[in-house]
Amino acid sequence: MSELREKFDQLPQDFDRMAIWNGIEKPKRQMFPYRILWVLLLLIGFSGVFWGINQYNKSTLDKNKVFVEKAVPSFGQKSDSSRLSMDLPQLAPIEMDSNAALAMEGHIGLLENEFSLAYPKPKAVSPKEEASFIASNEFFNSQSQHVYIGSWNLNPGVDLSTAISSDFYVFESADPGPVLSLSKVGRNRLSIRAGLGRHQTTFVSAGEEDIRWREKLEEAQLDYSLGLRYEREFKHQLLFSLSTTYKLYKDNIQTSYLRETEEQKVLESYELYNHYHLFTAQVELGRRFYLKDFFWDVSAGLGLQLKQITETDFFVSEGELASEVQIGEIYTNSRDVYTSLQTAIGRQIGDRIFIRTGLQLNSGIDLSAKEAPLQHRMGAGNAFVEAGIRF
Amino acid sequence: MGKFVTDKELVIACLKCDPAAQWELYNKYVQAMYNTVYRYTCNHQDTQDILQNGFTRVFKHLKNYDESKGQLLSWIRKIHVRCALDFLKKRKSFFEEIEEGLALPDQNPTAWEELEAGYILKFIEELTPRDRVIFNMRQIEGYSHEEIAEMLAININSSRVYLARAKKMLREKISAYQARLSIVQ
Repeated sequence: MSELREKFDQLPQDFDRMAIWNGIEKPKRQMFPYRILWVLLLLIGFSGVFWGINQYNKSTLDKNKVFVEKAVPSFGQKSDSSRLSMDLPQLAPIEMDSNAALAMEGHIGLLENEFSLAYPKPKAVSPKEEASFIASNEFFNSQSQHVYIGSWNLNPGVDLSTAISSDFYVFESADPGPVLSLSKVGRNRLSIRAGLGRHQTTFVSAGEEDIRWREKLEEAQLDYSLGLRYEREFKHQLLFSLSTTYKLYKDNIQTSYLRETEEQKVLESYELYNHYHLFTAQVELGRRFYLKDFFWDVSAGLGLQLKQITETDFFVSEGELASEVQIGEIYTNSRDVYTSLQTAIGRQIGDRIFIRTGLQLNSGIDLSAKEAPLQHRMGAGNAFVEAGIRF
Repeated sequence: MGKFVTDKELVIACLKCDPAAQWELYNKYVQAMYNTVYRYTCNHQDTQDILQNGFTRVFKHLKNYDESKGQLLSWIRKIHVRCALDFLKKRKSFFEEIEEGLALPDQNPTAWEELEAGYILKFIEELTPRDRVIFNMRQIEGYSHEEIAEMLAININSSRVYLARAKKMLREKISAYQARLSIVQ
Protein backbone atom coordinates (compact mmCIF):
# COMPACT_ATOMS: atom_id res chain seq x y z
CA MET A 1 0.00 0.00 0.00
CA SER A 2 2.64 2.47 1.09
CA GLU A 3 4.86 1.26 -1.72
CA LEU A 4 2.19 2.07 -4.27
CA ARG A 5 1.61 5.42 -2.60
CA GLU A 6 5.31 6.22 -2.85
CA LYS A 7 5.18 5.35 -6.53
CA PHE A 8 2.27 7.73 -6.97
CA ASP A 9 4.06 10.46 -5.00
CA GLN A 10 6.99 10.33 -7.34
CA LEU A 11 5.00 10.51 -10.55
CA PRO A 12 6.21 13.53 -12.50
CA GLN A 13 3.51 16.17 -12.80
CA ASP A 14 3.71 19.33 -14.79
CA PHE A 15 2.21 22.10 -12.71
CA ASP A 16 2.95 25.68 -11.83
CA ARG A 17 4.58 25.70 -8.42
CA MET A 18 4.86 29.44 -8.24
CA ALA A 19 1.21 30.02 -9.09
CA ILE A 20 0.16 27.74 -6.23
CA TRP A 21 2.74 29.21 -3.87
CA ASN A 22 1.53 32.72 -4.60
CA GLY A 23 -1.99 31.76 -3.58
CA ILE A 24 -1.01 30.27 -0.24
CA GLU A 25 -1.56 32.38 2.84
CA LYS A 26 1.54 32.05 4.93
CA PRO A 27 1.97 33.28 8.49
CA LYS A 28 4.03 36.39 8.46
CA ARG A 29 6.65 37.50 10.87
CA GLN A 30 5.26 40.34 12.90
CA MET A 31 8.51 42.06 13.43
CA PHE A 32 8.57 45.77 13.35
CA PRO A 33 12.25 46.17 12.32
CA TYR A 34 11.62 44.34 9.07
CA ARG A 35 8.88 46.74 8.15
CA ILE A 36 11.13 49.62 8.95
CA LEU A 37 13.82 48.11 6.74
CA TRP A 38 11.38 47.66 3.92
CA VAL A 39 10.12 51.22 4.22
CA LEU A 40 13.71 52.44 4.26
CA LEU A 41 14.45 50.50 1.09
CA LEU A 42 11.42 52.04 -0.53
CA LEU A 43 12.47 55.50 0.51
CA ILE A 44 15.99 54.93 -0.77
CA GLY A 45 14.59 53.69 -4.06
CA PHE A 46 12.28 56.63 -4.51
CA SER A 47 14.82 59.21 -3.43
CA GLY A 48 17.36 57.60 -5.77
CA VAL A 49 15.00 58.07 -8.69
CA PHE A 50 14.28 61.70 -7.78
CA TRP A 51 17.91 62.43 -7.11
CA GLY A 52 18.87 60.89 -10.41
CA ILE A 53 16.33 62.95 -12.32
CA ASN A 54 17.64 66.11 -10.69
CA GLN A 55 21.21 65.15 -11.42
CA TYR A 56 20.35 64.40 -14.99
CA ASN A 57 18.62 67.71 -15.53
CA LYS A 58 21.45 69.54 -13.83
CA SER A 59 24.18 67.83 -15.81
CA THR A 60 22.32 68.37 -19.06
CA LEU A 61 22.09 72.08 -18.36
CA ASP A 62 25.76 72.24 -17.40
CA LYS A 63 26.79 70.38 -20.49
CA ASN A 64 24.82 72.68 -22.72
CA LYS A 65 26.55 75.61 -21.08
CA VAL A 66 29.93 74.08 -21.79
CA PHE A 67 29.04 73.65 -25.39
CA VAL A 68 27.97 77.19 -25.75
CA GLU A 69 31.24 78.31 -24.28
CA LYS A 70 33.23 76.06 -26.55
CA ALA A 71 31.28 76.97 -29.59
CA VAL A 72 32.04 80.62 -29.40
CA PRO A 73 35.78 80.64 -30.03
CA SER A 74 36.99 79.20 -33.29
CA PHE A 75 39.65 76.57 -33.38
CA GLY A 76 42.23 79.24 -34.20
CA GLN A 77 41.88 80.65 -30.70
CA LYS A 78 43.68 77.62 -29.32
CA SER A 79 41.24 77.14 -26.49
CA ASP A 80 41.41 73.37 -26.51
CA SER A 81 44.39 72.67 -28.64
CA SER A 82 46.61 74.67 -26.32
CA ARG A 83 45.41 72.52 -23.43
CA LEU A 84 46.21 69.41 -25.35
CA SER A 85 49.62 70.75 -26.31
CA MET A 86 50.35 71.50 -22.71
CA ASP A 87 49.30 68.05 -21.58
CA LEU A 88 51.13 66.15 -24.22
CA PRO A 89 54.74 66.38 -23.02
CA GLN A 90 53.76 65.30 -19.52
CA LEU A 91 52.62 61.90 -20.72
CA ALA A 92 55.07 59.28 -21.77
CA PRO A 93 54.52 58.01 -25.30
CA ILE A 94 53.11 54.51 -25.43
CA GLU A 95 54.98 52.04 -27.52
CA MET A 96 52.19 49.80 -28.69
CA ASP A 97 52.69 46.26 -29.74
CA SER A 98 50.45 45.58 -32.70
CA ASN A 99 49.06 42.37 -31.27
CA ALA A 100 48.91 43.11 -27.61
CA ALA A 101 47.32 46.48 -28.06
CA LEU A 102 44.85 45.51 -30.71
CA ALA A 103 41.82 46.27 -28.62
CA MET A 104 43.19 49.56 -27.36
CA GLU A 105 44.23 50.72 -30.77
CA GLY A 106 41.02 49.42 -32.16
CA HIS A 107 39.08 51.63 -29.88
CA ILE A 108 40.79 54.69 -31.26
CA GLY A 109 40.68 53.25 -34.73
CA LEU A 110 36.92 53.00 -34.72
CA LEU A 111 36.44 56.52 -33.52
CA GLU A 112 38.96 57.76 -35.98
CA ASN A 113 37.69 55.87 -38.98
CA GLU A 114 34.09 56.51 -38.20
CA PHE A 115 34.67 60.12 -37.61
CA SER A 116 36.57 60.56 -40.81
CA LEU A 117 33.45 59.33 -42.53
CA ALA A 118 31.23 61.47 -40.41
CA TYR A 119 33.14 64.62 -40.80
CA PRO A 120 32.15 65.59 -44.31
CA LYS A 121 28.66 64.12 -43.90
CA PRO A 122 27.83 64.12 -40.24
CA LYS A 123 24.55 62.27 -40.61
CA ALA A 124 26.03 59.37 -42.55
CA VAL A 125 27.68 57.37 -39.83
CA SER A 126 29.01 58.21 -36.45
CA PRO A 127 30.12 55.88 -33.74
CA LYS A 128 27.12 56.49 -31.55
CA GLU A 129 24.67 55.90 -34.31
CA GLU A 130 25.97 52.37 -34.38
CA ALA A 131 26.12 51.98 -30.64
CA SER A 132 23.32 49.67 -29.80
CA PHE A 133 21.15 49.35 -26.80
CA ILE A 134 20.07 46.03 -25.48
CA ALA A 135 16.37 46.01 -25.00
CA SER A 136 15.45 45.81 -21.37
CA ASN A 137 15.17 42.24 -20.36
CA GLU A 138 11.59 42.51 -19.31
CA PHE A 139 10.80 38.84 -19.11
CA PHE A 140 13.43 38.39 -16.47
CA ASN A 141 12.66 41.61 -14.73
CA SER A 142 9.12 40.75 -14.02
CA GLN A 143 9.43 38.07 -11.41
CA SER A 144 8.60 40.24 -8.46
CA GLN A 145 5.38 38.78 -7.20
CA HIS A 146 6.51 38.06 -3.69
CA VAL A 147 5.51 41.03 -1.67
CA TYR A 148 1.85 41.63 -1.25
CA ILE A 149 -0.18 44.69 -0.58
CA GLY A 150 -3.60 43.21 -0.93
CA SER A 151 -3.24 41.67 -4.36
CA TRP A 152 -0.40 43.98 -5.35
CA ASN A 153 3.34 43.81 -4.77
CA LEU A 154 5.64 46.71 -4.20
CA ASN A 155 9.29 45.79 -4.39
CA PRO A 156 12.47 47.71 -4.14
CA GLY A 157 15.33 45.91 -5.88
CA VAL A 158 18.54 46.08 -7.84
CA ASP A 159 19.26 45.38 -11.48
CA LEU A 160 22.63 44.55 -12.97
CA SER A 161 23.29 43.91 -16.62
CA THR A 162 25.97 44.06 -19.26
CA ALA A 163 25.71 43.78 -23.02
CA ILE A 164 27.88 43.38 -26.07
CA SER A 165 26.88 44.36 -29.58
CA SER A 166 28.71 42.21 -32.06
CA ASP A 167 28.28 44.29 -35.19
CA PHE A 168 30.50 47.17 -34.16
CA TYR A 169 32.17 45.74 -31.09
CA VAL A 170 30.38 48.03 -28.74
CA PHE A 171 30.47 47.04 -25.13
CA GLU A 172 27.77 48.50 -22.97
CA SER A 173 27.69 48.16 -19.26
CA ALA A 174 25.11 49.16 -16.74
CA ASP A 175 26.05 49.29 -13.11
CA PRO A 176 23.55 48.21 -10.46
CA GLY A 177 20.74 50.62 -9.95
CA PRO A 178 17.64 50.71 -7.77
CA VAL A 179 14.40 49.41 -9.19
CA LEU A 180 10.90 49.80 -7.90
CA SER A 181 8.08 47.71 -9.21
CA LEU A 182 4.41 47.52 -8.46
CA SER A 183 2.72 44.44 -9.77
CA LYS A 184 -0.58 42.69 -9.43
CA VAL A 185 -0.49 39.13 -8.15
CA GLY A 186 -2.21 36.27 -9.87
CA ARG A 187 -2.43 34.59 -13.21
CA ASN A 188 -3.03 37.91 -14.94
CA ARG A 189 -0.31 40.22 -13.81
CA LEU A 190 0.08 43.86 -14.55
CA SER A 191 3.22 45.58 -13.40
CA ILE A 192 4.66 49.05 -13.45
CA ARG A 193 8.37 49.35 -13.04
CA ALA A 194 10.68 52.31 -12.57
CA GLY A 195 14.44 51.96 -12.65
CA LEU A 196 17.53 54.02 -12.25
CA GLY A 197 20.86 52.74 -13.53
CA ARG A 198 24.25 53.72 -14.80
CA HIS A 199 25.05 53.35 -18.44
CA GLN A 200 28.49 53.29 -20.01
CA THR A 201 29.57 52.60 -23.56
CA THR A 202 33.02 51.52 -24.68
CA PHE A 203 34.08 51.02 -28.28
CA VAL A 204 36.38 48.20 -29.18
CA SER A 205 37.33 47.65 -32.78
CA ALA A 206 40.29 47.11 -35.09
CA GLY A 207 42.30 50.15 -36.16
CA GLU A 208 45.11 50.74 -38.55
CA GLU A 209 47.01 53.85 -37.72
CA ASP A 210 49.86 54.20 -35.29
CA ILE A 211 48.65 55.93 -32.15
CA ARG A 212 51.53 57.50 -30.27
CA TRP A 213 49.61 58.85 -27.34
CA ARG A 214 46.06 58.92 -26.24
CA GLU A 215 43.84 59.95 -23.41
CA LYS A 216 40.25 58.98 -23.08
CA LEU A 217 37.37 59.42 -20.74
CA GLU A 218 34.21 57.39 -20.96
CA GLU A 219 31.94 58.43 -18.18
CA ALA A 220 29.21 56.27 -16.79
CA GLN A 221 25.95 58.18 -17.02
CA LEU A 222 22.67 57.76 -15.23
CA ASP A 223 19.81 56.16 -17.07
CA TYR A 224 16.11 56.11 -16.25
CA SER A 225 13.47 53.65 -17.26
CA LEU A 226 9.76 53.29 -16.85
CA GLY A 227 7.94 50.17 -17.94
CA LEU A 228 4.46 48.75 -18.14
CA ARG A 229 3.96 45.06 -18.54
CA TYR A 230 1.12 42.59 -18.78
CA GLU A 231 1.69 38.90 -18.13
CA ARG A 232 -0.56 35.93 -18.28
CA GLU A 233 0.29 32.49 -17.00
CA PHE A 234 -1.01 29.42 -18.70
CA LYS A 235 -0.80 25.79 -17.79
CA HIS A 236 2.56 24.05 -17.91
CA GLN A 237 4.37 27.17 -16.68
CA LEU A 238 3.84 28.92 -20.00
CA LEU A 239 4.03 32.65 -19.78
CA PHE A 240 2.81 35.20 -22.28
CA SER A 241 3.81 38.81 -21.88
CA LEU A 242 3.33 42.14 -23.53
CA SER A 243 5.57 44.96 -22.38
CA THR A 244 6.46 48.52 -23.17
CA THR A 245 9.44 50.41 -21.81
CA TYR A 246 10.64 53.94 -22.06
CA LYS A 247 14.28 54.60 -21.28
CA LEU A 248 16.32 57.75 -21.20
CA TYR A 249 20.08 57.64 -21.11
CA LYS A 250 23.13 59.42 -22.44
CA ASP A 251 26.77 58.92 -23.30
CA ASN A 252 29.73 61.09 -22.58
CA ILE A 253 32.96 60.12 -24.35
CA GLN A 254 36.03 62.29 -24.65
CA THR A 255 39.12 61.14 -26.49
CA SER A 256 42.35 62.89 -27.34
CA TYR A 257 45.11 61.19 -29.28
CA LEU A 258 48.14 61.77 -31.36
CA ARG A 259 48.34 59.72 -34.50
CA GLU A 260 51.20 59.52 -36.84
CA THR A 261 50.86 59.08 -40.56
CA GLU A 262 53.62 58.91 -43.14
CA GLU A 263 53.49 62.62 -43.68
CA GLN A 264 52.55 64.20 -40.41
CA LYS A 265 51.67 63.96 -36.77
CA VAL A 266 48.11 64.90 -36.00
CA LEU A 267 46.75 65.73 -32.59
CA GLU A 268 43.01 65.20 -32.37
CA SER A 269 40.43 65.68 -29.70
CA TYR A 270 36.98 64.18 -29.98
CA GLU A 271 34.16 64.79 -27.58
CA LEU A 272 30.77 63.23 -27.88
CA TYR A 273 27.66 63.81 -25.82
CA ASN A 274 24.58 61.91 -26.86
CA HIS A 275 21.08 61.70 -25.44
CA TYR A 276 18.87 58.73 -26.18
CA HIS A 277 15.14 58.34 -25.89
CA LEU A 278 14.26 54.73 -26.34
CA PHE A 279 10.81 53.20 -26.58
CA THR A 280 10.48 49.43 -26.76
CA ALA A 281 7.39 47.29 -27.24
CA GLN A 282 7.79 43.56 -27.00
CA VAL A 283 5.67 40.43 -27.05
CA GLU A 284 7.12 37.29 -25.51
CA LEU A 285 6.36 33.67 -24.88
CA GLY A 286 8.35 31.84 -22.25
CA ARG A 287 8.41 28.86 -20.01
CA ARG A 288 9.83 28.16 -16.59
CA PHE A 289 11.28 24.78 -15.68
CA TYR A 290 11.69 23.81 -12.06
CA LEU A 291 14.85 21.88 -11.33
CA LYS A 292 15.74 20.51 -7.94
CA ASP A 293 17.05 23.68 -6.36
CA PHE A 294 16.86 26.12 -9.23
CA PHE A 295 14.51 27.28 -11.87
CA TRP A 296 15.34 27.80 -15.50
CA ASP A 297 13.60 30.28 -17.76
CA VAL A 298 13.52 30.24 -21.52
CA SER A 299 11.70 32.75 -23.66
CA ALA A 300 11.49 34.07 -27.17
CA GLY A 301 10.19 37.44 -28.21
CA LEU A 302 9.49 39.83 -31.01
CA GLY A 303 9.89 43.54 -30.52
CA LEU A 304 9.86 46.99 -31.97
CA GLN A 305 12.26 49.62 -30.79
CA LEU A 306 12.04 53.31 -31.55
CA LYS A 307 15.06 55.41 -30.72
CA GLN A 308 15.69 59.09 -30.92
CA ILE A 309 19.31 60.17 -30.62
CA THR A 310 20.46 63.69 -30.07
CA GLU A 311 24.15 63.81 -30.87
CA THR A 312 26.38 66.64 -29.90
CA ASP A 313 29.91 66.13 -31.21
CA PHE A 314 32.95 68.22 -30.77
CA PHE A 315 36.05 67.59 -32.82
CA VAL A 316 39.43 69.26 -32.96
CA SER A 317 42.20 68.26 -35.33
CA GLU A 318 45.50 70.00 -35.16
CA GLY A 319 48.40 69.15 -37.50
CA GLU A 320 50.45 70.56 -40.26
CA LEU A 321 47.72 70.25 -42.82
CA ALA A 322 44.44 70.08 -40.95
CA SER A 323 43.04 72.46 -38.41
CA GLU A 324 39.28 72.53 -38.04
CA VAL A 325 36.47 72.28 -35.56
CA GLN A 326 32.94 71.05 -35.85
CA ILE A 327 30.21 71.33 -33.33
CA GLY A 328 26.47 70.92 -33.48
CA GLU A 329 23.49 68.82 -32.64
CA ILE A 330 22.30 66.06 -34.90
CA TYR A 331 18.93 64.39 -34.45
CA THR A 332 18.49 60.83 -35.60
CA ASN A 333 15.47 58.57 -35.41
CA SER A 334 15.79 54.85 -35.82
CA ARG A 335 13.32 51.98 -35.91
CA ASP A 336 14.42 48.45 -35.13
CA VAL A 337 12.45 45.26 -35.44
CA TYR A 338 14.12 42.49 -33.53
CA THR A 339 13.73 38.97 -32.27
CA SER A 340 15.14 37.89 -28.98
CA LEU A 341 16.02 34.65 -27.25
CA GLN A 342 16.56 34.64 -23.54
CA THR A 343 17.58 32.05 -21.04
CA ALA A 344 18.18 32.46 -17.35
CA ILE A 345 18.78 30.39 -14.29
CA GLY A 346 17.75 31.47 -10.85
CA ARG A 347 16.97 30.43 -7.36
CA GLN A 348 14.17 31.34 -5.06
CA ILE A 349 15.54 32.18 -1.65
CA GLY A 350 12.56 32.07 0.56
CA ASP A 351 9.29 33.74 -0.12
CA ARG A 352 10.51 37.20 -0.81
CA ILE A 353 13.89 37.07 -2.46
CA PHE A 354 15.22 35.47 -5.57
CA ILE A 355 18.39 35.78 -7.60
CA ARG A 356 18.73 35.16 -11.29
CA THR A 357 21.25 35.53 -14.04
CA GLY A 358 20.93 34.90 -17.73
CA LEU A 359 21.84 35.45 -21.33
CA GLN A 360 19.96 37.31 -24.01
CA LEU A 361 20.55 37.20 -27.76
CA ASN A 362 19.00 39.77 -30.05
CA SER A 363 18.96 39.92 -33.82
CA GLY A 364 17.36 42.91 -35.39
CA ILE A 365 16.93 44.97 -38.48
CA ASP A 366 17.33 48.70 -38.31
CA LEU A 367 14.60 49.84 -40.69
CA SER A 368 16.04 53.31 -40.95
CA ALA A 369 19.67 52.34 -41.63
CA LYS A 370 20.97 52.49 -45.16
CA GLU A 371 24.18 50.74 -44.26
CA ALA A 372 24.54 47.60 -42.21
CA PRO A 373 20.90 47.29 -41.15
CA LEU A 374 21.42 43.89 -39.52
CA GLN A 375 22.39 43.98 -35.90
CA HIS A 376 23.20 41.18 -33.51
CA ARG A 377 23.55 41.69 -29.82
CA MET A 378 24.21 39.67 -26.76
CA GLY A 379 23.45 40.58 -23.19
CA ALA A 380 24.99 38.69 -20.31
CA GLY A 381 24.91 38.64 -16.57
CA ASN A 382 21.43 39.98 -16.11
CA ALA A 383 20.89 39.55 -12.42
CA PHE A 384 18.09 40.75 -10.26
CA VAL A 385 17.64 40.76 -6.56
CA GLU A 386 14.43 41.96 -5.06
CA ALA A 387 13.37 41.95 -1.49
CA GLY A 388 10.52 43.10 0.62
CA ILE A 389 8.18 42.39 3.44
CA ARG A 390 4.68 41.11 2.94
CA PHE A 391 1.89 43.23 4.31
CA MET B 1 19.78 19.83 -0.40
CA GLY B 2 17.88 22.36 1.59
CA LYS B 3 18.99 24.46 4.49
CA PHE B 4 17.05 22.35 6.98
CA VAL B 5 18.24 18.80 7.39
CA THR B 6 15.33 17.34 9.34
CA ASP B 7 11.60 17.91 9.30
CA LYS B 8 11.82 18.94 12.93
CA GLU B 9 14.18 21.81 12.08
CA LEU B 10 11.95 22.75 9.19
CA VAL B 11 8.84 22.85 11.35
CA ILE B 12 10.56 24.89 14.07
CA ALA B 13 11.76 27.42 11.48
CA CYS B 14 8.30 27.59 9.90
CA LEU B 15 6.77 28.23 13.30
CA LYS B 16 9.12 31.21 13.57
CA CYS B 17 7.66 32.41 10.24
CA ASP B 18 10.96 31.98 8.45
CA PRO B 19 10.02 32.47 4.77
CA ALA B 20 12.94 30.33 3.57
CA ALA B 21 11.66 27.45 5.69
CA GLN B 22 8.10 27.94 4.47
CA TRP B 23 9.31 27.81 0.90
CA GLU B 24 11.40 24.71 1.59
CA LEU B 25 8.54 22.88 3.26
CA TYR B 26 6.27 23.73 0.37
CA ASN B 27 8.83 22.76 -2.24
CA LYS B 28 9.63 19.50 -0.48
CA TYR B 29 6.06 18.21 -0.34
CA VAL B 30 4.19 19.91 -3.13
CA GLN B 31 4.78 17.22 -5.72
CA ALA B 32 3.61 14.39 -3.48
CA MET B 33 0.57 16.44 -2.48
CA TYR B 34 -0.18 17.30 -6.08
CA ASN B 35 -0.19 13.62 -6.99
CA THR B 36 -2.29 12.75 -3.96
CA VAL B 37 -4.93 15.37 -4.63
CA TYR B 38 -4.94 14.75 -8.36
CA ARG B 39 -5.90 11.12 -7.71
CA TYR B 40 -9.08 12.43 -6.12
CA THR B 41 -9.99 15.19 -8.54
CA CYS B 42 -8.40 14.12 -11.85
CA ASN B 43 -8.48 17.78 -12.73
CA HIS B 44 -5.38 19.98 -12.74
CA GLN B 45 -7.11 23.27 -12.02
CA ASP B 46 -9.08 21.84 -9.10
CA THR B 47 -5.90 20.27 -7.79
CA GLN B 48 -4.10 23.60 -7.79
CA ASP B 49 -6.97 25.26 -5.94
CA ILE B 50 -7.04 22.49 -3.34
CA LEU B 51 -3.28 22.68 -2.87
CA GLN B 52 -3.48 26.39 -2.16
CA ASN B 53 -6.11 25.74 0.45
CA GLY B 54 -4.25 22.71 1.79
CA PHE B 55 -0.91 24.40 2.28
CA THR B 56 -2.62 27.41 3.80
CA ARG B 57 -4.11 25.04 6.38
CA VAL B 58 -0.75 23.35 6.84
CA PHE B 59 0.96 26.63 7.72
CA LYS B 60 -1.93 27.74 9.86
CA HIS B 61 -2.07 24.56 11.94
CA LEU B 62 1.58 23.63 11.93
CA LYS B 63 1.79 24.36 15.64
CA ASN B 64 -0.56 21.42 16.21
CA TYR B 65 1.71 18.95 14.45
CA ASP B 66 2.95 16.30 16.89
CA GLU B 67 6.08 14.56 15.72
CA SER B 68 5.45 11.58 18.00
CA LYS B 69 2.19 10.79 16.21
CA GLY B 70 3.68 10.36 12.77
CA GLN B 71 5.75 11.76 9.96
CA LEU B 72 5.26 15.28 8.69
CA LEU B 73 4.47 13.92 5.22
CA SER B 74 1.58 11.85 6.60
CA TRP B 75 0.23 14.80 8.54
CA ILE B 76 0.37 17.07 5.50
CA ARG B 77 -1.21 14.36 3.37
CA LYS B 78 -4.11 13.98 5.79
CA ILE B 79 -4.80 17.68 5.58
CA HIS B 80 -4.76 17.60 1.80
CA VAL B 81 -6.99 14.55 1.59
CA ARG B 82 -9.48 16.32 3.85
CA CYS B 83 -9.28 19.42 1.68
CA ALA B 84 -9.89 17.32 -1.42
CA LEU B 85 -12.88 15.64 0.22
CA ASP B 86 -14.31 18.97 1.35
CA PHE B 87 -13.94 20.22 -2.18
CA LEU B 88 -15.67 17.17 -3.66
CA LYS B 89 -18.44 17.20 -1.08
CA LYS B 90 -19.44 20.66 -2.25
CA ARG B 91 -20.59 19.04 -5.44
CA LYS B 92 -24.14 17.97 -4.86
CA SER B 93 -25.05 14.31 -4.60
CA PHE B 94 -21.48 13.31 -4.84
CA PHE B 95 -21.85 10.57 -2.26
CA GLU B 96 -24.97 8.51 -2.21
CA GLU B 97 -25.78 6.16 0.58
CA ILE B 98 -25.96 2.56 -0.44
CA GLU B 99 -28.22 1.03 2.16
CA GLU B 100 -28.79 -2.35 0.66
CA GLY B 101 -25.63 -2.82 -1.24
CA LEU B 102 -23.59 -5.93 -0.76
CA ALA B 103 -19.84 -5.76 -0.44
CA LEU B 104 -18.43 -8.63 -2.42
CA PRO B 105 -15.45 -10.43 -0.99
CA ASP B 106 -12.23 -9.86 -2.86
CA GLN B 107 -12.01 -13.12 -4.80
CA ASN B 108 -8.95 -12.29 -6.83
CA PRO B 109 -6.76 -9.96 -4.82
CA THR B 110 -4.58 -7.88 -7.07
CA ALA B 111 -0.97 -7.15 -6.16
CA TRP B 112 -1.41 -3.43 -6.77
CA GLU B 113 2.15 -2.69 -5.61
CA GLU B 114 3.53 -4.65 -8.52
CA LEU B 115 1.77 -2.56 -11.11
CA GLU B 116 3.13 0.59 -12.60
CA ALA B 117 1.77 3.71 -10.94
CA GLY B 118 1.47 5.57 -14.22
CA TYR B 119 -1.11 3.34 -15.79
CA ILE B 120 -2.93 2.57 -12.56
CA LEU B 121 -3.48 6.31 -12.32
CA LYS B 122 -4.84 6.31 -15.84
CA PHE B 123 -7.36 3.62 -14.89
CA ILE B 124 -8.21 5.38 -11.63
CA GLU B 125 -9.07 8.46 -13.67
CA GLU B 126 -11.63 6.38 -15.55
CA LEU B 127 -13.49 5.36 -12.38
CA THR B 128 -16.55 7.23 -11.26
CA PRO B 129 -15.69 10.00 -8.75
CA ARG B 130 -17.26 8.14 -5.85
CA ASP B 131 -15.49 4.85 -6.56
CA ARG B 132 -12.25 6.71 -7.13
CA VAL B 133 -12.39 8.46 -3.77
CA ILE B 134 -13.11 5.29 -1.81
CA PHE B 135 -10.45 3.34 -3.68
CA ASN B 136 -7.88 6.06 -2.99
CA MET B 137 -8.76 6.33 0.66
CA ARG B 138 -8.85 2.63 1.40
CA GLN B 139 -6.40 1.10 -1.00
CA ILE B 140 -3.77 3.80 -1.28
CA GLU B 141 -4.03 6.01 1.79
CA GLY B 142 -4.84 3.11 4.06
CA TYR B 143 -7.87 4.47 5.88
CA SER B 144 -10.17 1.93 7.49
CA HIS B 145 -13.77 1.66 6.35
CA GLU B 146 -14.81 3.12 9.69
CA GLU B 147 -12.63 6.16 9.13
CA ILE B 148 -13.83 6.52 5.56
CA ALA B 149 -17.44 6.30 6.67
CA GLU B 150 -16.85 8.96 9.27
CA MET B 151 -14.95 11.32 6.98
CA LEU B 152 -17.46 11.04 4.15
CA ALA B 153 -20.49 10.84 6.41
CA ILE B 154 -21.68 7.61 4.83
CA ASN B 155 -22.25 4.23 6.34
CA ILE B 156 -19.58 1.56 6.44
CA ASN B 157 -21.47 -0.69 4.09
CA SER B 158 -21.53 1.99 1.41
CA SER B 159 -17.81 2.33 1.73
CA ARG B 160 -17.30 -1.41 1.27
CA VAL B 161 -19.57 -1.53 -1.75
CA TYR B 162 -17.90 1.40 -3.45
CA LEU B 163 -14.50 -0.16 -2.86
CA ALA B 164 -15.52 -3.55 -4.17
CA ARG B 165 -16.99 -1.93 -7.26
CA ALA B 166 -13.89 0.15 -7.85
CA LYS B 167 -11.61 -2.85 -7.49
CA LYS B 168 -13.73 -4.89 -9.85
CA MET B 169 -13.70 -2.14 -12.44
CA LEU B 170 -9.96 -1.68 -12.12
CA ARG B 171 -9.27 -5.38 -12.37
CA GLU B 172 -11.32 -5.59 -15.52
CA LYS B 173 -9.49 -2.63 -17.03
CA ILE B 174 -6.10 -3.99 -16.08
CA SER B 175 -6.96 -7.45 -17.43
CA ALA B 176 -8.14 -5.96 -20.69
CA TYR B 177 -5.01 -3.89 -20.92
CA GLN B 178 -2.76 -6.86 -20.22
CA ALA B 179 -4.64 -8.93 -22.79
CA ARG B 180 -4.11 -6.22 -25.40
CA LEU B 181 -0.44 -6.13 -24.51
CA SER B 182 -0.06 -9.90 -24.91
CA ILE B 183 -1.76 -9.75 -28.33
CA VAL B 184 0.61 -7.04 -29.47
CA GLN B 185 3.61 -8.98 -28.21
